[in-house]
Amino acid sequence: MIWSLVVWIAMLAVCVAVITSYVHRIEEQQQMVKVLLADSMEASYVHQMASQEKNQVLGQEIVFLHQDRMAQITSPDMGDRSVWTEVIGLCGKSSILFDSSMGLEYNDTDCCLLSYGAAYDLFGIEEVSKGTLIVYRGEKFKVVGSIPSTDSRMVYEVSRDMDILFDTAVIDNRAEKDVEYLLEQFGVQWGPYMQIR
Amino acid sequence: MKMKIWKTIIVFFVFMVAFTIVSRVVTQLRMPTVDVAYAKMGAIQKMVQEEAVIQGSSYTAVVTEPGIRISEVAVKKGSYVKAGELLFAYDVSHLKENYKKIKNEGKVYAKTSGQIVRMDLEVGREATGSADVLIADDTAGTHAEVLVDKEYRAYLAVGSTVLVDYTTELYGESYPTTGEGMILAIEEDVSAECLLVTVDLSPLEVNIGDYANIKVVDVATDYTSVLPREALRFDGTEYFVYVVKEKETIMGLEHRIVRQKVEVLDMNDLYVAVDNVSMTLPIVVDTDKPLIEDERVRYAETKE
Repeated sequence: MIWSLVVWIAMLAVCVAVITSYVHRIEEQQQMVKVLLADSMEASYVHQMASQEKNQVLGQEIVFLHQDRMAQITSPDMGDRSVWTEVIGLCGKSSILFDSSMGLEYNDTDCCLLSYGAAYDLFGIEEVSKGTLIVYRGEKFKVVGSIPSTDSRMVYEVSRDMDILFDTAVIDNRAEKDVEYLLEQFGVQWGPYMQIR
Repeated sequence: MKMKIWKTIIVFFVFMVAFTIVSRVVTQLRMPTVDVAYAKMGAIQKMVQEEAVIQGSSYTAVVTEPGIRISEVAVKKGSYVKAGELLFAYDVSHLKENYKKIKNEGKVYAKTSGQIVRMDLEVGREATGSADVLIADDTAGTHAEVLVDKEYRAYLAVGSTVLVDYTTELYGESYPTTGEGMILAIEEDVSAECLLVTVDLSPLEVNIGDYANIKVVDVATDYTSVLPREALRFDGTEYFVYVVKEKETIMGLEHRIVRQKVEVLDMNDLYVAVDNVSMTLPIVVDTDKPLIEDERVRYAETKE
């Protein structure tokens, strides 16, 4: 009788722990604010703004991104074998958006992260060693880390010279008032609504 | 009492067997399914085929007098002219008599024979003063330029022949034709990582400005061990394949994944030539789940 009670209490404790962890994760995600920009910004402009002292928040709280939902990436090591994947170009810190084995920083412009799904499609293995080359839009990127997701995705830092337009900003852990303050620092016109993830 | 102990033991074993069966069934259902192939002798074919515009090797430009109206255009783009044939005529009726640049009563004749590749003049409109008419000299020959990836450099040589697919016209009808061209030059462009290959098409009856399909590279090399491309894997430092190895266990025959390092000898879009792979080993080419080394797998229904 006592043992049965102990087992029940233990199972209850496990359930509470799982639910608490899940709620905590959802709360964490909700603290990330996604803003659709009214006007797209060129990579060179974002880099120029980011280099100003007052905008040192890039790399800490704000990241600009461009999403290419279906793009071709190739591997020179696999005889230019190519796969279609989602490609996300960033200007800022990747850890605001993704959990990965190693994050990208604002100036890691020749580096990328590869999800398990994309790596498996391209190389037949979920994790490739650091330094493996990926080619996207004719530019070479070194893999520096993995994103533990079966979704096929490549994330890279956009260099100043790339012909990329940022249409979205993601702000980490900010109240709405601070979001507007951050965006104003970059001279950004934001869209009519903000999505809270 | 003894009976009760026996009963307990039997119930225990029945439960053990039942749970084992359930566990095996669940494991079997969760097990990755793999398609396999065996290494075979074969050839790796490399083919580079590009469409290119047929160009003349020498051009003569006819520069017009700006602002003078055109009264006649005697040729059109694509047509052939002989030296001395009329190309076009200026409208000289409104020009002053002392306008010395215009000769032959405004008529302009071809100085060389060849194909008209540009004709920007229209009757009633004024000439622009630029090279409004361009004649490709048909005696200087024709050529086409093709961009080829540098990895194919070993298969290219100046003077070697290549197959060319183009169209010829006979009694107003177009017919697909195949002929041979010759590689005239191979220029390396370091920045573009490409080679610019110039192919001489002079022996062929081609029309300047048309498109030709040129097989720049078409070679096949034989290898003893060829696999489908999907079988090849790369972890960033070495190439490998997943081999399915059979193992007899107390629970029956098991299939497990073993990683085997290979050296890549050659590859194309479909196949890869490797060494160090036995022809009797089943190699994984497709799977429904990512594989981990030493994992148990089952074959898909259609085992090759």
